[in-house]
Amino acid sequence: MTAAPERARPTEPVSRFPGEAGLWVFVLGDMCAFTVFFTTFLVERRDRHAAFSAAHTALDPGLGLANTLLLLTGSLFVAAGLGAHRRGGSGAPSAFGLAALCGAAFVVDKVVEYTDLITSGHTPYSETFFATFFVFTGIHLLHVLIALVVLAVMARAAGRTPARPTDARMIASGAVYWHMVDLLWLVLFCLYYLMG
Amino acid sequence: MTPVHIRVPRDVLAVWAILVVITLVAFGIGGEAVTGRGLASVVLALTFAKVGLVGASFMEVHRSAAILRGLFLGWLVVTAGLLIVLVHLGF
Repeated sequence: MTAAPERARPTEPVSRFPGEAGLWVFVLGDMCAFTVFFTTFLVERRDRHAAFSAAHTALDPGLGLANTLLLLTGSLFVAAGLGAHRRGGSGAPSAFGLAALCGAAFVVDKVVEYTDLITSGHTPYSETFFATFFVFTGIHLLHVLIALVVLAVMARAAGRTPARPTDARMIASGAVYWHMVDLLWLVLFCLYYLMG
Repeated sequence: MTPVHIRVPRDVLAVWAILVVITLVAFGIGGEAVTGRGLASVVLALTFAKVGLVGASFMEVHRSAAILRGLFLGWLVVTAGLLIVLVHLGF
């Protein structure tokens, strides 16, 4: 491991909004949509506590934990990559690549989990618990897939020489998007894997 | 192939470590499924503590415009409060 000399890069314009200000309209809107999902889960659970508790046992909490740690570690790399890019360091593309690996592992885990559940007879049509599980975690999985594309774009931009004036803000925006995906999973993990 | 050095700032590493520890504590409480309302509220509170930490630190909300801080905090309080109240009401 050798430390490459850090060189100044154009930083994002001074703004009091991390990334693009307009992106926050989408981010906060998406978070509100997920608040509706979280509430729907609890409302659906109200009259089906026994069925929800039974269905919950079909989920592997260890897999949920592994996925949570993957996304948190992805966030660590994204934050490190953003910092490296701002300092003009050379590690940003690699950091974003490692974050993408965490995201890809999350996707693989989810596919394995969905396959196991469906082959065991737990489909979106078998039980309200699984209907909400597949829909809400599926929508979240779509967010992760988009985040993988975003990370690839961020890694490419971070490694570009000379940097474009818009790169810094685009990378900061991508980081905000990744962290939102992480943040939403934290609540899904709690509701589906920790609360019976 | 040139080796690449990725430097993880101490504050970022500290936030990640706190998030991992809270996750493991919540998993220890809820890994076998939380059934009591009190414990469920504790697990939810720990979860939203993590959400707040991700937002404030990783998403850099803590040093953003007041309106963004207010909107994020508002979402956090409303969502956490709503879910915890619903759990207490037996939902």
